[in-house]
Amino acid sequence: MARIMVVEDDVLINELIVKNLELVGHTCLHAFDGALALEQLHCHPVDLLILDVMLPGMSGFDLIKKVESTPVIFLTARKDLDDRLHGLSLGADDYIVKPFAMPELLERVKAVLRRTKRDENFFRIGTLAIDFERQQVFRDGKQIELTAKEFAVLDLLVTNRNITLSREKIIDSVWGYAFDGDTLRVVDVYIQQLRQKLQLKEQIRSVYGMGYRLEI
Amino acid sequence: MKKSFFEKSYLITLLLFLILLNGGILTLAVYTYHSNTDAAKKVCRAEQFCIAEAFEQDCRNKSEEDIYLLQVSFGSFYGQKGIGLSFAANGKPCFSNIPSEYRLPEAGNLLIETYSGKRILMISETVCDGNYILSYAKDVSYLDEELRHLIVVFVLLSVGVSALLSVLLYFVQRKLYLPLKKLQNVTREVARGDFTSRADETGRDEFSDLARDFNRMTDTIREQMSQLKLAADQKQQMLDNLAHEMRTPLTTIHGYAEYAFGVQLSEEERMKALRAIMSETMRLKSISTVLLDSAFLRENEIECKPLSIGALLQRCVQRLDRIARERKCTLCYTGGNFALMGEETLLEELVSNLVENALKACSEGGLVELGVLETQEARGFFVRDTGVGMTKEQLLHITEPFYRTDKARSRQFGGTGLGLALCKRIAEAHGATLSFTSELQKGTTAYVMWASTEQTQA
Repeated sequence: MARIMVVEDDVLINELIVKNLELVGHTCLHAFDGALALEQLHCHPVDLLILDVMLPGMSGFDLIKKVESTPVIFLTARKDLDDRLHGLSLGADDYIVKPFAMPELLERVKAVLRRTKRDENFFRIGTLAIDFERQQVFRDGKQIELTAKEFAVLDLLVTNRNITLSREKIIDSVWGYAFDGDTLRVVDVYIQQLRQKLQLKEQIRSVYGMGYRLEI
Repeated sequence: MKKSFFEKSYLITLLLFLILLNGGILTLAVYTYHSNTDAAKKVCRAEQFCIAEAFEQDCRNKSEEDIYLLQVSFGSFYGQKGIGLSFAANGKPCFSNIPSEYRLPEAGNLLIETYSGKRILMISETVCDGNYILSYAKDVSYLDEELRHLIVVFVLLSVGVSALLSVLLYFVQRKLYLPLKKLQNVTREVARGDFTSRADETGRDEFSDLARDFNRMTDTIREQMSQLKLAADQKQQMLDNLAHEMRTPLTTIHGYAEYAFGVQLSEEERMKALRAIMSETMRLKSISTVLLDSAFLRENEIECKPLSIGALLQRCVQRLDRIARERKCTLCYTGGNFALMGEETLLEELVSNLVENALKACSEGGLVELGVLETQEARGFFVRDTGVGMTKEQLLHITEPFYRTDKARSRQFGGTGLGLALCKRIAEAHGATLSFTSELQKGTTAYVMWASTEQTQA
């Protein structure tokens, strides 16, 4: 998993992001202002920088110019398009507008890490190996056939492992359309399929009244 | 069809002028004709009288035959001068060289008649004690000639003057109308929203007065519009800031709620998440309280009571001393006192806010002093700290809502970013001014001062 530094001056938000990243297996550093972040980066290079634009002392835009080799996701409270364009033209890999939901942030972290090849495209659960690049799953070297949607649900569970995902969230992320009472049950069907095919009855837990969680 | 004011005024003036001019010319023509005719009549009467006299003299003591011969000689003599004569005795015509179709008037009358295109003036008078009637006839066609001539002259005159007049009038009126036209153009530009266009104020007539008034009007409107725009901009800025300020606590609240919801947490972690949610909720609450207070101050008159500023400052020092000690700073009151009219809780809020800001600016071991300041022009109180200080640029903005000199530092202490904006409003509501002096790394002093002319005495 990746080493990520969170640079955000709001202590509570900083801690929250770190906690969530650690839950899905990343190692985190944190800094509350630009100068300190730069200092730490010299000793501890990281795979990804999550950077607030509005920082005391040195703005996120100033900081990114000095750490060109590191991938960056900007956090911004400003919705101005100018800011986003500015962020991206400076070489940021992505941005996310506050207020954001954690699964959204995790999704982008995963995407950036894969794009920049900083994250291995293999994930192992016991004897199960998941190849994200080829979208294939193996147990003891033998391939298990999954449909595209099944794989997408698995991918989402792995990305947000140890975090409960509501059915709404899963529908929204995988199918990407508005849901109603009936379509929510589709999720249950897919989860059953995954549990059976991958023999992950224990690991994919139903959280009563909330949704599902992959526990590792 | 719509006619412009210019057209109307031009046409009406021209019409009136033409009627009067031609009426005058016509009257003059008629008058001239009549006076010419009268003159002709007088001349004829005089001539006729002369002939009658001469005839009477010549025919005195003459026989009837001689008289007839006399009549013939008179007739031929005056006939050469173009005057026809006719004599009649006792109703019977004697001699006449007047054409017989002419109907002669009764004795003593004058008649002008037209016969075969000629104007003939005829006079009949009795002569020789009523024995004869002498009729006189003369061709006065020249009067008609004169009249025709007169008419031609007058018509030419009328046409010439009218044409000249209409042209001159057009230019004169257009010149007079020009300022109105210009003013109209400016009005249209202003109506389209261009408040910078100005009317031409040159001249000293009603149009220039109107132009001046119009310019004053646009100036006033422009001024008021810019004031409104400024106020609207400030409100928009404030709203933008508010939205921004609310988003941060919302991100935190949502994030921690999601975290507590979706992750299996230890009891300790759960408490931590809940505390974070609560503290951010409090921040939102204090933002809304301060906004409501500001709104209240804006909408309502404050109730002033006499109070002592010294006592108020001392009370604040006592109340805030605990916070100062927590931050390992010293808070003290340096003395001084005067009485003023004010709302006690609001003024305490003002002092508390200033002191809290001062404490935030100080590091450990800092000093915050409160005291009364009296000069010749003004008096009031100050809050002085030995903190980090501010730049001139920062000083300009600190009373703006949500302005923070140091975002991280201020947030750390749970500031709303609205404190000084509220302070400014409280000071203004009391007729005082809030000002600051500051030096980087040396400290900041806040002054709340009442000008001496203000009625602050209890």
